[in-house]
Amino acid sequence: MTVDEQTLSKLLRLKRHEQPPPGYYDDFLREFQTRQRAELLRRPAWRIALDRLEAFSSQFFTVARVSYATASFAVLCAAGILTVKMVQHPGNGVGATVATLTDGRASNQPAQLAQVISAPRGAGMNTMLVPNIRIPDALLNASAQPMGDGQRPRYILDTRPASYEPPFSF
Amino acid sequence: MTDEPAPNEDARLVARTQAGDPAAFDALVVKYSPRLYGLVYNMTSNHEDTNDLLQDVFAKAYRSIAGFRGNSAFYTWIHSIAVNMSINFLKKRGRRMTMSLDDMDAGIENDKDFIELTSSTNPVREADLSELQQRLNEAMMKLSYDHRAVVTMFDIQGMPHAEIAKILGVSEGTVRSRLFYAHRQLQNYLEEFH
Repeated sequence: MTVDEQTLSKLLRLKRHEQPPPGYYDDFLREFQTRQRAELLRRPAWRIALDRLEAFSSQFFTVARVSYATASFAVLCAAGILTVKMVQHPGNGVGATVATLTDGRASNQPAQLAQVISAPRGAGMNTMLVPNIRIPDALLNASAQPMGDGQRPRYILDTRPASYEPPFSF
Repeated sequence: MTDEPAPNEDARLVARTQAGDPAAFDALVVKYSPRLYGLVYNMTSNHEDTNDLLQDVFAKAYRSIAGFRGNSAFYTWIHSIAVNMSINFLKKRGRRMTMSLDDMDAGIENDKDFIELTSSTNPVREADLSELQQRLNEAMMKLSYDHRAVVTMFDIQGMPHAEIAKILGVSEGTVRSRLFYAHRQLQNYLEEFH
């Protein structure tokens, strides 16, 4: 007998009637849930501990978030107040310090001047507003030279060399 | 069996599962276990293997559902997992195969195909039909895994070519070609029997 295409298709379709025993699918779901729970218990101890820690810390999450925001706000306020004070009292800046050092008495101390100007940022509150600056040696040497006749004192103000001599190129 | 489930309902259940509702995934298990049972069972021809494999299929789907982005329907996605896991299982099992077939349900006697095949005008008689079915099961096991998957989904489960192509990640032409070749092989095997 030849099994033609049509007969073969019918035979294959009849295989749909091969079914598991009655109630199998209900048991299947229960078995699946049991296996899932068993799988959860078989997880490594570190993973279970991590999950528990996450669950425990989640109840404090809101408080932690508020604390973080408050701390950030406080830091911003402090920075703002500090900036306002610096603007109101510019004499407290590095420039003033440098001017004092270079004012006559210090004119023969170029090394000390350079040390103050190029001090690292964290060295003191006043240096926070000024980055590390290297003054050219020529300039330092010039200010270190003893003043001759007709020469007026030179100053360095706000990190920039300045002079009382009237500028020629304005 | 052939009607595709509503994708919106599946998408809602998937979203709820992803949000951490295990009951939603239970609903998906209830919905898809009969369909996937048929797929895996006809691939393995063994009830116990099918049961274990199907448990693993749903467990894997549950573990991976967080990464399911909905680029394909859940229906396609879960079928792909089932087919791939069945093929991997069969490769590992190799020749160590025992057939443990399920019984035909009572509904077969009312099936149009059964009535036609066992009618007086048809050369196949009821006694022959039982033997023929057994022979067909053996022939199915002689097909390659890819061919068996296509025959199972198209002929037994009644899925359209396009859906099978999506599940297997091949073109519709490949599906048709595999079907043609598989049918030839099955016919040859059944002819040898007579």
